[in-house]
Amino acid sequence: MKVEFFINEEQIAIECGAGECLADTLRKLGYVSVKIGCREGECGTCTIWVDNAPILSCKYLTAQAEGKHITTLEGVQKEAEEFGGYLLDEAVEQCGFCTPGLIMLVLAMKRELKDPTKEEIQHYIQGNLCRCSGYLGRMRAIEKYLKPQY
Amino acid sequence: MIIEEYVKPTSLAEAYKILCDRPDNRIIGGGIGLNRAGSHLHTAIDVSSLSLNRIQIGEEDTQIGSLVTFHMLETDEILPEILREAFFKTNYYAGGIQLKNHITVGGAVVSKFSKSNFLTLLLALDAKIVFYHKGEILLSDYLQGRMEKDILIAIKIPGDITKIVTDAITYSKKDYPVLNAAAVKRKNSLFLAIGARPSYPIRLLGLEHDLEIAAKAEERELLISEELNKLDLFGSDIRAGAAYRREIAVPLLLRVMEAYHEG
Repeated sequence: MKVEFFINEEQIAIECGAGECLADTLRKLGYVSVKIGCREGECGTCTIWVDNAPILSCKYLTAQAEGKHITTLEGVQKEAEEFGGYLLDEAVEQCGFCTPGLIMLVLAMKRELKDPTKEEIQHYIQGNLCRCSGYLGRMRAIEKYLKPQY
Repeated sequence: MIIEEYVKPTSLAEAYKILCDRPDNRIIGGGIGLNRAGSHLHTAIDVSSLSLNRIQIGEEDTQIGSLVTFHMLETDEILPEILREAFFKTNYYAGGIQLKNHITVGGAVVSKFSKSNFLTLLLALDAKIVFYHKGEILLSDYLQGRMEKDILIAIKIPGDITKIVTDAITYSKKDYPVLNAAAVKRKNSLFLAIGARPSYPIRLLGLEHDLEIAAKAEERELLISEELNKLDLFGSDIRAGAAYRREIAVPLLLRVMEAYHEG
């Protein structure tokens, strides 16, 4: 079936299967920042934005994206680099597989929450799992990234 | 997951007709069921264009559309604060924000997911559910019965709520509950439900009146123990046996009732 949507504000039209999930489509199109972890909605590595809301692209059919605005990490590179600097400063990352999903989530949080507390941050990012670096360094990086704004 | 066709109907009538055409045609809702290994759908029915993601406040009840997500329940300021806070607390560990943008009220109800804290709360809220074909029915009737295929349109929560207490016993914060409970005060009446037994939640109708007026904890403990001895409520699963659930049900309900009577 034919589906038309916007990826990082670029309009595209593709042919896809009825059951194809958006994560697979995006990777096929070269948006390899979208990582596929569990395919069960648990790990959060495939997080992207649909109409500016963070969603799991493994739980979203490409067909559902008709007319929608999709944002991947490639579309928010400048902000991602800025936050990435804080991750680097805290030496947070090891394998980095979960990082694109985390960055998409943190950037969404920055847009949605004004001056979030530590508890609100933890609540917001609880759906992004990391199996090698842990979470304390991430929290430090996120708090430092958000602090200069307020 | 194999899906042969995807359709996006423009009316509930059209969606219902497609749903009933074949046994393997399904509403996809928020998409949580997608990608489950081994599953096969002939037609995935996307109802997102049918305006089912609205919250409406009426004079007698609050109507929550079936496509309203858990994230909307936590953030939509149109919801009465007492409900929004209760949903926030009860769904706190249901998943990350991106998952909560997928989990819909309709999916949580239709799946009858028995370990859901949300379902137990809805039962204590005395919610009614509105189907396209079957019409309005009590959530408690839906949970106990079998139903033909239908499209859930909304849930209705009656007003006049003055207090909501929810609690659950889990082995770790983000694990499924071993047991959960919810108590709601409405017009000086108690509505009490217990869930994750591990079967679907139920109302403790025989206890509600007595626990509402029982002032002392010892009195409540006796009432709860006597009632639980009469009923065969609990079963076993990977998390706990029926006897263990029976034991911890008493302190859980006592905890809930203590919070209910506070203030």
